[in-house]
Amino acid sequence: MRQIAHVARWSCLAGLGVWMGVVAIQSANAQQMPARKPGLWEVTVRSTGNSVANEQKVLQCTDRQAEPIMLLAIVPGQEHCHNVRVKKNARGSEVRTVCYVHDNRVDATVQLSGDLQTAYRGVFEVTYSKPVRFVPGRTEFEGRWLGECGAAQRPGDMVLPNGATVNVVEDRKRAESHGHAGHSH
Amino acid sequence: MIDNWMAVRTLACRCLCEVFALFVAALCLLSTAQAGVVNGDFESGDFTGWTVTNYRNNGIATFPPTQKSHLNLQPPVTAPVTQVVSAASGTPASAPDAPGQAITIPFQGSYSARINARGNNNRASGIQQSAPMVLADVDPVDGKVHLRMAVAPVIQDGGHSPEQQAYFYVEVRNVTKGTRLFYTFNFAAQPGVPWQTLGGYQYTGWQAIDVAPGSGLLDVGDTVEVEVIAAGCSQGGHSGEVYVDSIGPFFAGLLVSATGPTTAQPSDNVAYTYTYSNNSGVMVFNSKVSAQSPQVRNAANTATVDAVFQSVTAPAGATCTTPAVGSAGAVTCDFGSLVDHQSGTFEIVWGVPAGASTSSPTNSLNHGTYSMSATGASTVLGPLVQTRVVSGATLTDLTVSVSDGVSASAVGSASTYTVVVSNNGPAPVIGAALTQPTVSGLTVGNWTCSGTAGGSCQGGAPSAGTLPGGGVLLDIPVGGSVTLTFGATVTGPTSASTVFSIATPAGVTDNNTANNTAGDTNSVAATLHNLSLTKSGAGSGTVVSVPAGMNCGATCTLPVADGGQAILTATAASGSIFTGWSGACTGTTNPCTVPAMTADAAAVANFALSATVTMTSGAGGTVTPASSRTVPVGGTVTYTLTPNAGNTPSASGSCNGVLTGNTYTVNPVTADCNVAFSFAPLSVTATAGANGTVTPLGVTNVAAPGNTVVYTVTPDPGFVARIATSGGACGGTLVGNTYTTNPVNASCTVSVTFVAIAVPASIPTLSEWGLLILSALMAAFFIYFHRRQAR
Repeated sequence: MRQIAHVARWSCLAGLGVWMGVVAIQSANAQQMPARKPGLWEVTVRSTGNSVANEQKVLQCTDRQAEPIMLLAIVPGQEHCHNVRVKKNARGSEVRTVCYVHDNRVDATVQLSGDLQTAYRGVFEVTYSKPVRFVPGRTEFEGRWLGECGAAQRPGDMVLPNGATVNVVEDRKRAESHGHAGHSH
Repeated sequence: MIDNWMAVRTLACRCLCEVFALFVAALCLLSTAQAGVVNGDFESGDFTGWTVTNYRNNGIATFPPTQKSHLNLQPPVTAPVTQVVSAASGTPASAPDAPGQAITIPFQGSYSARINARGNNNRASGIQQSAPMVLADVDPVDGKVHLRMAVAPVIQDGGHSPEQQAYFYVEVRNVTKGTRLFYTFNFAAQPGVPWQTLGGYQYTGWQAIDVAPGSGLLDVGDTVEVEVIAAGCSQGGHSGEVYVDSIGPFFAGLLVSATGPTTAQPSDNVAYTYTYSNNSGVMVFNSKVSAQSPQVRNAANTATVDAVFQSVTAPAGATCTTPAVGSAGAVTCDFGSLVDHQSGTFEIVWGVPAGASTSSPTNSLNHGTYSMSATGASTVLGPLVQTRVVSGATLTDLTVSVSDGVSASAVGSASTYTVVVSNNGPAPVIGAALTQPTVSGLTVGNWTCSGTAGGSCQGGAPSAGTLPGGGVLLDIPVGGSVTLTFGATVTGPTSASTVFSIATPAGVTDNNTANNTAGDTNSVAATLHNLSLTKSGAGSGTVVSVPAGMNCGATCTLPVADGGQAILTATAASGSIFTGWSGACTGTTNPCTVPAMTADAAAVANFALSATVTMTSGAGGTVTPASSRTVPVGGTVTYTLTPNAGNTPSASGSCNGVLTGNTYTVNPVTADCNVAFSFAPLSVTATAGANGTVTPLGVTNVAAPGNTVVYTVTPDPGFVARIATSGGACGGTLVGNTYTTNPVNASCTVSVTFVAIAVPASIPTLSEWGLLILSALMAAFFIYFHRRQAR
């Protein structure tokens, strides 16, 4: 009985250690997440695998709080992300995410280069665990800082090429607030 | 009992018919050039004329939905936001995103409706309006009542099953006839829809919707109900909104639409007819229609597959690029320049994928990925065309048409109607039923029946009078037709109308139900008046009318019922331009409404020869108008130039003109010409030669036209400055060592050289010569005496 208690105690300690380690790694990863200079960015996205969408140009208003979502707002499937890893490499930063749209696992790899202060460029690729109707394929993008956000713009605002404005941060919150009702994973 | 019921029903029908006829009469008398839909462009800045209804999306009950009730919309729990947004004043303060922010989205004008703004949490919302169709809703190009609109959705793709996705839905109903004229249901990730995907968002540019089922199905006087709905996903997490604009008979811009078969089988070749037009008010250039392959899900519903290109038939003068036959891709046809109100059609044949799904709900071959563009106008997408893919069916295409050749009749007059039923194949039909569901204002007389290529009426010509309920049965081989005629006496009192429908026999499916019903409606009065038209001027063109009937040479006439109106539309021929109306129509507004006619009237359409001013502009500023312009010979174009800060405009090209400030007016043009505008900083370039200095040297920018530049000119000792006055010199004034240019209105130069001060080389005067001789004599005398003393 004492042995069982001993094992249980050590198991708890080991589990606590693992949890702390995971928290530490995640914290370290969060600190390493690249962040662009706050303000208004023009981002041009070029898809090489989708004949319908050859080039799209959006405007993004970002700040420190919005940036973790805004930076990857052009990448599909970035909902309910449970694993975000950032790694420095010779070309800049590589961000890997594992997210879930409904019950479809989405693995994204984003390679970024540039100073993120005045300009940057990159490429992303996304794979799905289940078939989807639109697979963007290898997609290149580049951004340039235009200046401060407009007077009426809020961090998270993204102006789509058709002129409509969406707030990416708020839409993400709305989508993830329905995580259990709308997404079974 | 039954007899009593029949009598009551007959009486009720007569009452309804009379009420309807009075209603039509009132409309004919009161209708103006105003379209039936009120505030369809939302330029009132609000929903005047519209009813906004909020809902909750609990999931679609019947998928795919073909009517509003299938959407299963429930009363709202969380109120959606449906609003009118403006490019001028920005979104309202209640906007969930970007409140007060100017937007660029209105299709035309300054305002658009934004339905279900960012509507998640199962929110759904719609706008609805009932509107009577009037003469101004008829497009003279085809004589049909049109209800058009533009929609631009922004939807989040939640990755749900299709019936759970966010969507937008449009439905148009004919309340008068109790029929549903049109619906379209577009959900996130739907194949064949021109979705642009960015992150988790899907959106499109402005898509055109064009509802024009034709006479008999939608007529002047009918009340139409239009409804546009947007909904977030039924799982709650994702939003669905749609922008709507320009709901009415015409777009003030480009328009493209397509028609295609309603049913097909895998591997069939299906032909789509594309209609394009320019209603922008000006001539447009480089007009193109581009169509991507239609798309359908595969049989296993695991992938989207493309239809493949087979052939294209374009009008003379157009050039098309295509993928290889049997391959998917884009077909782009270039139609060049289009004058205002010019339209045309062309046809593309696509092959249905052999592996296409044939099971509902994934068996829809969707074609919404086609658009029209031109220099000088906004690009617009065409409305979604859907073809149901089935297997094992016997398909054929029956068509029906009816006409008596006129659009107005006098009470008591006799008319002869001709009904033609054709079989376009690919299957013959035995016993196709031709019915006559509607007859009003007419007494039907005797019938005749004749056929071509083996077509015939079973049992010969029908008996006199309206066709019985079961109609008349027709046998028509592929490529054959049956022509029936009947005489009729017009009873009116305000209109005479009849509708015919053709139905395939059991076991055969009609692959294009859009051409199975046709009607003919005349306005009727005790007397008719003639509206005559004359074309004048050195140019040429055509004039068509609503009601249809006027499309003529130099002169022609159109009978119009007493008290009725007519709308005339002029279209210039190539090399000509429409310059205005006179007579019964005045001004330059095109189309023109001839007021209610109580007597004969005459109108004149004026056409002039035209010349095109082709404009190009460089970077560093903008030009308004931003495109080339076609004007009457002898006319001019005035361009407003807006240079960027520090820049100055200049003009060149074969069009001569006058640049005054930032306004350039082309001299009266006599032939096609071009003008090129460029923008560059206004500057003075100073240079200096040897033996002196000029400060500042080199290029000095001039802040504003008319300013001067001051230089300090310092010659070396013994030198003086010389300033050039030709070769682009600025000109100016040198006072001491300060040179001030004339006011600078174009970039120029200050070129300074320095020359030595010259010593005068003068000829001695007579007194100077005298002094020289005297000096010489004195010197000689001195030498003489000096030598003498030395001896």
